[in-house]
Amino acid sequence: MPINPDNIKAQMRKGFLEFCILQIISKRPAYVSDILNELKKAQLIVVEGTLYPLLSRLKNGGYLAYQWQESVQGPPRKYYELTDEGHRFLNELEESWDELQSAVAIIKSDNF
Amino acid sequence: MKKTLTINLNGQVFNIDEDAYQTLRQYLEDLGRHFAPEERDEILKDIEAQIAELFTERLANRNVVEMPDVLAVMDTLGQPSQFGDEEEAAPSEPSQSSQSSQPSDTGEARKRPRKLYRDTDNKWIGGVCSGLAAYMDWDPTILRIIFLAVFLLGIGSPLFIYILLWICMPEANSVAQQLEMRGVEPNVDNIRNFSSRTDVSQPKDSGTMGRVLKVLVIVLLSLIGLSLFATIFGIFMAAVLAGFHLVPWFTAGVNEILLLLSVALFLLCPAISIVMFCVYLVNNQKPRHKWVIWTLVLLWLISIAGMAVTGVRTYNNRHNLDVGRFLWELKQSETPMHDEWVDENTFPVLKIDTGTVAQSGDSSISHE
Repeated sequence: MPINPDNIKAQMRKGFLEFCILQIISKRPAYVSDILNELKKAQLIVVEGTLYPLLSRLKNGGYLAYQWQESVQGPPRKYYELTDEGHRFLNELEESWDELQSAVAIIKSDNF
Repeated sequence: MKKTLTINLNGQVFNIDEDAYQTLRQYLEDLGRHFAPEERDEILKDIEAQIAELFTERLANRNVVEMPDVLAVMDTLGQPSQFGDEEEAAPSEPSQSSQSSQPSDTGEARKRPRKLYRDTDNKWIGGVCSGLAAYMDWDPTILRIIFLAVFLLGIGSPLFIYILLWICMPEANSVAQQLEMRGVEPNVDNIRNFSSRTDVSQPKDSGTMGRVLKVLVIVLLSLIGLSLFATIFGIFMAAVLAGFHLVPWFTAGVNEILLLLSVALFLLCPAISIVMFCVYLVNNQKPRHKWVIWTLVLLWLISIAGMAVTGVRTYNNRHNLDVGRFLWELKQSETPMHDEWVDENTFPVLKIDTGTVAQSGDSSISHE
């Protein structure tokens, strides 16, 4: 398979994105717009549509749960929160993130 | 002025322009195709909820969702190809994967297999020719000319084929279908391009080949039309002459006159159509007076029926006449034969068996 820079960037961002979503939700229960705002602020996603399949897959994997909450305007909203398994998964991801970060830091700082 | 539809998004009611609705529906269908079946419904529900929220935000004081709103929402949510994670999902379109995150690569350059639709935006009759032309990337005028030529030459049954295609081919209603008809991926950008293009409905320039062909066809059609009119005039005159017994040796009954008029009508309808076709062809415009065409078709069918009925009747009359003449001739030839060598007493049975023939012969004999 030929190396496609865009593809590799997308792949890097993809794994990273799930990590960040879990991070956002772990702080407090969040609904889609909250998550989107955070992600946009961090300039992590280009289009909102990316989020929905990720949320759905995380939920189906048992890492997320949601409950309906009334909102001031409009119909009730889905508020996502982490399950126990979600918390464990987030910890694992954090560990591997730290590992990756230090690995990259070591390699980048090593001047031979 | 536009027609609006009422839609329900996540329990909220929106009024939406028809074109905007078509685009939104196509978008949701595209999204649906992108996700795996087991997660599709839920994701689409979430997305619909988000769309409802975005619409509410955008509408503020307005009542109707319009095309710009839908396009803006589609921009915010993005195309399935931009989601960048379709490796697991979308088993149906594996080739499209990993073309991620660049809206520019969804331009018109990306072709897909064309679909056969009736192009009712450029139609003359049912949009069959224009649809076929779009499918084969031809000029519809050339296809129409071929169709008409085949029809006039009487090869096969193009009329029947046309009606069959008319029934079989679906109409290209939405912008997305019109794009599919031309083999263009019906995504946001292309739909936007297509919608904003002003020259969509204008007839295409047919090129030098097309123009030369056009002139040839006009000349040919004029000749055919002229000869048809001459024939019709002749038939009409014949009907008048025969009907009013203006010429002693050429008379006809009501049936024969009706037959002649039916034939004249049968020729007149295509003749008028040819003239109209030529006028439209010269002016490079679509047929406007639909009712004229339909009236002509109706008259033409009536003339066929008329020809059938009066033709059969005339043939029967003619047959009777012929039988009469035959009997008369027989009678004429019978008399001398009788005199020469037929003895009445020898063949008494013949008289009874041949019925009228023998009887009339008999009477002529008795006259002598």
